[in-house]
Amino acid sequence: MNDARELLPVPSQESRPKRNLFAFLEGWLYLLPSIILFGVFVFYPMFRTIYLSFFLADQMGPFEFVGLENYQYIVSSDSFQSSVKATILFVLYTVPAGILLALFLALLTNEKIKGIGIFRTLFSSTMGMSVAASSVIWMFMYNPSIGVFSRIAEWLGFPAIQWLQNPDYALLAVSLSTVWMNAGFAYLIILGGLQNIDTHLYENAKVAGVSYLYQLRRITLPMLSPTLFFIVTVSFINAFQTFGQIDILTKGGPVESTNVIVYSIYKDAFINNDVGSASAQAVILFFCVLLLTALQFKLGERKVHYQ
Amino acid sequence: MTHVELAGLKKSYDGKKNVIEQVDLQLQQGEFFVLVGPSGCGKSTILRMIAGLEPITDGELFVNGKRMNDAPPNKRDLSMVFQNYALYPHLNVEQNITFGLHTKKISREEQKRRCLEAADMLGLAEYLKRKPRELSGGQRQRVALARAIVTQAPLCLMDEPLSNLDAKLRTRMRSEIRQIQRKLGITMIYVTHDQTEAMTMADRMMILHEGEAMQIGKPLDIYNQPANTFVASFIGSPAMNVMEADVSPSGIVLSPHCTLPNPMKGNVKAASKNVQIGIRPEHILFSAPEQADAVVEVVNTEVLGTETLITFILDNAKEQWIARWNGQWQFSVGDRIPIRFDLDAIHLFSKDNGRLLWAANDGQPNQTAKEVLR
Amino acid sequence: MKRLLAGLSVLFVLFLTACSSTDSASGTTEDGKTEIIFWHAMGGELEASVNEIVDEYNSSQDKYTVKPVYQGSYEESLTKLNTVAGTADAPAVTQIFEAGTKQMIDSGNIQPVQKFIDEENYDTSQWEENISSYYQVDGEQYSMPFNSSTPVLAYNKDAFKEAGLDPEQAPRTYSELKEAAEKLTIKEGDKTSQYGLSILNYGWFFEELLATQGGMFVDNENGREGGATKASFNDEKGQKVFELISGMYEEGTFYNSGQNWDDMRASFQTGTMAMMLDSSAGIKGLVDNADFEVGVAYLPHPDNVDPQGVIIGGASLWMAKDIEENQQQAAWDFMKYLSTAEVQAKWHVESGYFAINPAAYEEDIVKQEWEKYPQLKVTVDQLHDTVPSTATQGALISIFPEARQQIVTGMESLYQGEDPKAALDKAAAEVDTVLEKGSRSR
Repeated sequence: MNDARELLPVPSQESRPKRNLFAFLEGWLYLLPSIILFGVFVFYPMFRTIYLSFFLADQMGPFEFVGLENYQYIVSSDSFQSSVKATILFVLYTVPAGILLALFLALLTNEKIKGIGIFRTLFSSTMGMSVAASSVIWMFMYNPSIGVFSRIAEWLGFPAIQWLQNPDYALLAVSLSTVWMNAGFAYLIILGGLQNIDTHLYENAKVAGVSYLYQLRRITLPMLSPTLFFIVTVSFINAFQTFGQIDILTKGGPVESTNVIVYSIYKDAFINNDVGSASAQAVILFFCVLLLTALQFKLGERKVHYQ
Repeated sequence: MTHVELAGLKKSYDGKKNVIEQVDLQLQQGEFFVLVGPSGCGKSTILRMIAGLEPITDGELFVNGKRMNDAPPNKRDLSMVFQNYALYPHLNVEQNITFGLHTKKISREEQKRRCLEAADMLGLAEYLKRKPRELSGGQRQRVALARAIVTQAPLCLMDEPLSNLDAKLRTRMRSEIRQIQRKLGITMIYVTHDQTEAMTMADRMMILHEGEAMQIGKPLDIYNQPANTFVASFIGSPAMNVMEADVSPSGIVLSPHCTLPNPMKGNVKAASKNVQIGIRPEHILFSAPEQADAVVEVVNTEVLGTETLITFILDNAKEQWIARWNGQWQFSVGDRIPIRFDLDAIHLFSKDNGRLLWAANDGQPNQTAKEVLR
Repeated sequence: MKRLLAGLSVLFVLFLTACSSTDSASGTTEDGKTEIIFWHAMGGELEASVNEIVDEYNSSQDKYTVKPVYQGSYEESLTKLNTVAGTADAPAVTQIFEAGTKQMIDSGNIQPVQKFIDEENYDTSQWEENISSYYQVDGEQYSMPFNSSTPVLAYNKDAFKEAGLDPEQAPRTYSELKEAAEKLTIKEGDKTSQYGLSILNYGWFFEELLATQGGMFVDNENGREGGATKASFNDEKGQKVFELISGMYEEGTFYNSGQNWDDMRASFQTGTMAMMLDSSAGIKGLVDNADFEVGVAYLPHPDNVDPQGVIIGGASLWMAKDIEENQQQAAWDFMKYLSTAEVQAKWHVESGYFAINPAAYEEDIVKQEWEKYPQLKVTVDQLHDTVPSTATQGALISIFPEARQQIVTGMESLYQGEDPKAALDKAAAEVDTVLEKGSRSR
């Protein structure tokens, strides 16, 4: 049954390096499109921003080297400090609330009831709305004279609050609209995660007779933890980059209460023509988000139960 | 004492077509009962209805005499083992085993004690701190079993628990499960599609086909006196050989060259009717040429070491039958061999509905050694 | 099926590339005419007006073709210009708002129109001096004024009548203003259904209220004698403005209408406040859309102060430097056309902006319009009554956007109870820092 097979000829020494070189170049050829795109749209802007942060610069480029002066000015300025405060508050207002809302809605619509599809579509629909369109709608809702919220407040007997003009309320108002806008995406992700949980786990719990809350705590949340970790991380990163609704609703005001770092960067770069300062702020923001994400992975990932 | 009773159980999803049709059953305490049938016959559905995971459309379910149709699963005093084990990946073995025990108002110490007991019984004592993903398939299955045992529920439902294991492990687990069940005296309702498991494990079993109960009874009774052709061909491996034949008082005509003497002797109810004749492979015997009922042509042989399965044709090339002979027989394709049929083991089924008309065997297992080799 | 899909994708990509036209480069059209691009920030009805004027220009002669392109708001359009300025893709003519004047001068990318004025011996006296002087530095005319506006006090004449005030006598001094506002404020319990006055949180209004007192925004003659180095708006004149706002807000007669022009005008239309400051360019729209009679008056000034008038706002037209000679000629020709009396009359009547050529006011269509909208005449009168000085010429600084932002933040802090002097000083300190930074330009 086993015929003695002839040994295949061993390739000679000379042709092997050529083949290796060719394979190497071929590999790079496949990588090239990706490298070019990433290089042009991600790496180059990133390094250029870091470069510009050490200069005084305007729209046409840098013109005076100032070393760390931009950074020093930013770190000591009141304006930046209120930006940091606004950013942190904004992130704290929008991320937990948004995810809890999405989780709640996903749990509600996880059942296989007739017509549940309508609700699922409804809840995820905010994903399809553009930030600009949504912001304009919310702006009208917040209008102190004709907006829906003021009408309700009036009807309930409260004085009309100028939601977007009052520095105490402006950030909350913008946060609320942001939670609404981001809910769709988070909802979809979490719903997907829920649907992936083995139903037998719940059946076993039913047979054992544990309460609904117990099932939620001990089955749903642990099984959902990879999804939750993903959506929390992504939501944090997105929250730091929120721009559209602030530009349309409050333009960073009133009294800079909604002047999150990203918006401050935009104002400095495109309205005040101070590209150096904007670049420095961008670099600071980058490292903050990087640090936060690293922390999340280090501390949070331990709690995640991958399968 | 009747532990579980199903009376006229029906199930329908759309209100029009019944997927489970009229199941009646009474189980005694401590019985090992098997629901067996091909995929999609409804056996898991029945199990889930007993468990309370599926609503019962019609009929009644009684546990210990109490009507349980609307009771939630945890009030039915039962435990369940799932096909894919349903272990919680984020909990270790010990936590999996004791999952949900707190609802039965059992103290922590008692929970731990029961867990250790079950772990010992199933050989899991060293794995208690491991997570399910660090266990093999067989070990996971035992954890699921342990989880059912610690509840000390008198009724245990098992939904094809061995399907995901390899053949060797399956054989061993069959025996283990049976031993544990006997030792603890639990009533077990066991669902499987494997007729070997059913035959070897059941005290009694129910064959299901498309939602209808074909037959309920002890394994050997079913084996020897199958109620219809479906049961006859489902139980036993290789399946019973079934063929159309003509019966007259003179004999059973299998083929132009083969007529068997009518074994019914006095009973000629089936005279001249077109019937189906059934005979199991082990009842087709080697014969000396003079005593042969027929000479058949070999189309295939399978030598298993302990026995040989010979596929042959009588006259009609379309009908292939299998004979099972002990020992290692060497035949070539095309050989013509003389065979005879054990007339004490013939079954006659109706041609239209496959119902058993007559069986020579009275159902008792044959105590005397059969003639196998000449 | 796969082939069909591939073919469709190729077509789609081609379609996309065809759709994105480069509308920043000027060139020559097929029929030998020199084509130039004109970037502007006039949206809505104003854009329709601009397009009409450009069409009429194009058909009035056959040497040049102008292509108008709407580029968004003043800020957005300036941002876009910055990305192509100094290159061959720059538009020949761009409309830039008044606050961007110094930036444009400093950029070195523009061609002062003085060159063409000199070449042709163009008579610049036909222009309204108050307007053109804004865009002059050291006697050199940099840009061509196009659409100028001034701030006015707009008020609800019906509300005046109801409050027992003379609708034809608008308040002029701050005390008159406060009195009127008090009478106009209608309160029920702690809910106010009508406020007396509102001023948009916009830096320009502050500058105007300062200038009408003769106050300087920055030092060095408002930055017109050498570069500005310090803010000077936090003197007593500026303080009077902030004290007015703060005081009235505390009394509950002042309404905070935020930063958005549309919101403010909408609040005025719904009667949330009876008086407000608005640009003369918005008057026609107010009159048309209000269901009450709208009155227009001069900007108010503090008691015992001789009103100096107003700084012109709006925008002017700038010519790019690094373009072809024939394109520059085309741009100059277009600009000249725009400043003729007929075109200015049409523009004034349709937009409410001032005619830069006073002769336009003699045109019949203007006279007819003024009969229909006598409010428009008030705005012109206010401009003619302005006393020329470096105060009313307006500040010349490159960091106007940031400076205006600081004023806005200052105004907003007043509503939170900040002391007017402290708010103003804070804004001034910030502006000083920004001025210092801005002076280190290229």
